[in-house]
Amino acid sequence: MPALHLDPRAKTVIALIWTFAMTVVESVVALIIGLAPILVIVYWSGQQPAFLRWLRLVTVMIAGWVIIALLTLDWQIAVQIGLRILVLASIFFVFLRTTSPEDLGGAWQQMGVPFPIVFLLTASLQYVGVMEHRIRQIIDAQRARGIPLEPGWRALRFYPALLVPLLVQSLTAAEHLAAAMEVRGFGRSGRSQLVAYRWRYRDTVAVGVTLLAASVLVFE
Amino acid sequence: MTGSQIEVRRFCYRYSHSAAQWALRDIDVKINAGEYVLLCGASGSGKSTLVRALTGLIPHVYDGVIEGSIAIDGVDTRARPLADWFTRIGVVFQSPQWQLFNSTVARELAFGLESLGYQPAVMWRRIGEVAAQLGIEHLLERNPQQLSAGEQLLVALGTVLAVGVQIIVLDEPFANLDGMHVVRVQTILRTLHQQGVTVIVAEHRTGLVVADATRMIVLHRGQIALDGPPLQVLAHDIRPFHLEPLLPVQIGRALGLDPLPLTVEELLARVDQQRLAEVYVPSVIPSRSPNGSPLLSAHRLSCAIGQRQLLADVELHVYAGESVAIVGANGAGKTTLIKHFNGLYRPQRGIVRVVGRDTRTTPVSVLARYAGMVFQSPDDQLFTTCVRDEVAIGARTMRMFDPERLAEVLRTFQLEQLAHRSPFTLSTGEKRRLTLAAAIMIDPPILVLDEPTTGLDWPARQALAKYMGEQIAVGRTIVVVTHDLDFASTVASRWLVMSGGRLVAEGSSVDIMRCQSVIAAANLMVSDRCRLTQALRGNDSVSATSVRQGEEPYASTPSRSTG
Repeated sequence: MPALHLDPRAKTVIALIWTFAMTVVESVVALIIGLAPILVIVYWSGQQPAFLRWLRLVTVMIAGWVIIALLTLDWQIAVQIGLRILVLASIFFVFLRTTSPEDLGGAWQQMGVPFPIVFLLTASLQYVGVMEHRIRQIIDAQRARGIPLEPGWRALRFYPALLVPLLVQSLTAAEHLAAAMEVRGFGRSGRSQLVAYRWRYRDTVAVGVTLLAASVLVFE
Repeated sequence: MTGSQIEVRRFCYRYSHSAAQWALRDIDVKINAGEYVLLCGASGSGKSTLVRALTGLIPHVYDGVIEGSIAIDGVDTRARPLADWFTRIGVVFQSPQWQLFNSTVARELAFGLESLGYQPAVMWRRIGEVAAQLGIEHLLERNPQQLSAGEQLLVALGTVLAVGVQIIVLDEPFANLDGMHVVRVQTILRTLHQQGVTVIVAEHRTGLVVADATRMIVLHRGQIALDGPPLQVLAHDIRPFHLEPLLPVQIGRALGLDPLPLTVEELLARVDQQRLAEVYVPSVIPSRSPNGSPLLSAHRLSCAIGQRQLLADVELHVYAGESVAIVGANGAGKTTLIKHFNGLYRPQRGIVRVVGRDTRTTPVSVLARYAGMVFQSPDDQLFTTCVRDEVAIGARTMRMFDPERLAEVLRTFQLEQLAHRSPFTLSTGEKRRLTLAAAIMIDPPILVLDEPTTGLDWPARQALAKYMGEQIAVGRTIVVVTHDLDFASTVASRWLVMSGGRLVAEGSSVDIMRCQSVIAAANLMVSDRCRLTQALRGNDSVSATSVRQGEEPYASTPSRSTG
């Protein structure tokens, strides 16, 4: 899958170009054309189930904006807004699913971004999954003793039962992480990288094609 | 240079948040290259603080008041930044999952090498060597956070070995490991020691390390109480330091053996069954015959996530008043199974009934009244401002609160003195007691405990066994999930053995222990107590054991001896 084997920097540039284009185009047709390559990449990379789950999440947001636009403006603008959010959310999805935080950080580091900043990005993204797991464990532990943390209004009253343990564990995790980083030479200068990122010919071509396509959509 | 690899001189340390109490006092110790040191002591004895001090985390990461000094290879740890020490001394923390922060194991192993500025080719070669040394080649592309506790510990150890340290310090490495990984880590540490690496293990379960260690240091209330070769240290009574005496040593002492045996194998090689029976009396937990219909049952219970089969056709029955242990390695499906007992997981296939109620159709809030559950980590549930409220909150939510019951539960679990303390300030043992009390507060007929001994020292473990014994005595049905077979044999009359999501065996602890194929299939680690019981009373239904009263008194009162 050539689209997935691009340099992370190329992927970042492509995502930014396409995001810019899809933000400024006004016609519904251009938005639909803008969505098409994203859907192809989703199909190509076998991400359909995850994409559908993602769509379910963003549907609420899209529906909200569409309803507001219908009530305050007209149906054409409502369709345009709905489509635009869908395309932007899809770009975000494809970018995150095809680029690991570490690849992205590594590429930035190679571009000269200081390692502490890169680490901040990659480590925090790395801990998203860990904290998700902790949240599930806390909810299970509280529900097991009758505290209703199932989704719903009643749970709001008991949210401290989730938030307090989560906060305590987050602080503990931060303390452990800081210690673990320090004892592995985080503060040393002259750091190298396990994976060297190389900008290839195909990256230039991919960025060029994206730039061309975006220009056509924006200016036509 | 002094000749010692690590030299601690009159070292005292007080955390900045602790105004008056010294965590370490007058620590004076020299550790030579190639030693294998067991650093033991109960919770709060200062083990973890000393680990932080030895590895330079104190004072570089943890603020506080320091007196005295620690030098590695003659250089004070304060004289250089922490990043300069990590090629000399490496540390594996108590909870390795918080020590791993990369997306793959390969990147995790590379992190230290990247800090040192190595070229990729060198790093890949070193990663390959370390992975082969630890047997984790198959994990290199896995996310460290998705590994089992044992695998995470091996990866954490790999991060230290990758940079070629000559001193390795491990803080409670065996705390969350199942039998297979305990043996694996023991073997790796033994090999490293034979290769000349200095190994320092902080551990309160002395039996897991003592046979390999060349030196044993007992910490008590922040001070070194005993220091010397294990045999010399174990000649003293270590119970006043809240450490569990080793069973072979106890028996060896009672029989007047010299030198004292450190392992069951050594004991059995020197003592025949008849002599053993003179001083060692297995006590019996009578198994209850099934009475009426089961209180808890699962019929053909299966559960899968994606392609991964977590439970397969599990069939179990637990009767009123029984105490049952579900044993097995990490990842065997034990926790997944018990989460079906109160509806947290609904059966994908099969049926689970709790006190006659089908868990597919009964809400969790209702099932929680019948199956009280205590999970592995007390920190997952503590959130109120005082112990009293923490115990009462579940009952209040279920509208079952009774002030008299609260007073009774606080009394039973000796929490009256702590009733107004913040739960977050309690020790691990006290937190465990608190979560147990919170579960008992609603008086559920079934009590389910998930790995209740994790992180507990000997006194806390004994206290837990006592509370559970009291609950069994009042007729409460107990289901305990554990890979601590010693504890399982102390509290449960029947074992259910799980492996790969299946229930592979069922019976008394002795029956299970006799079956080598089950032990191997389920990766169980047979405890000293079980092996001795089996050696003595192999054919009886025997569980917990004790050394007969009247054994020879211990050699001396607690005092420091230097070997």
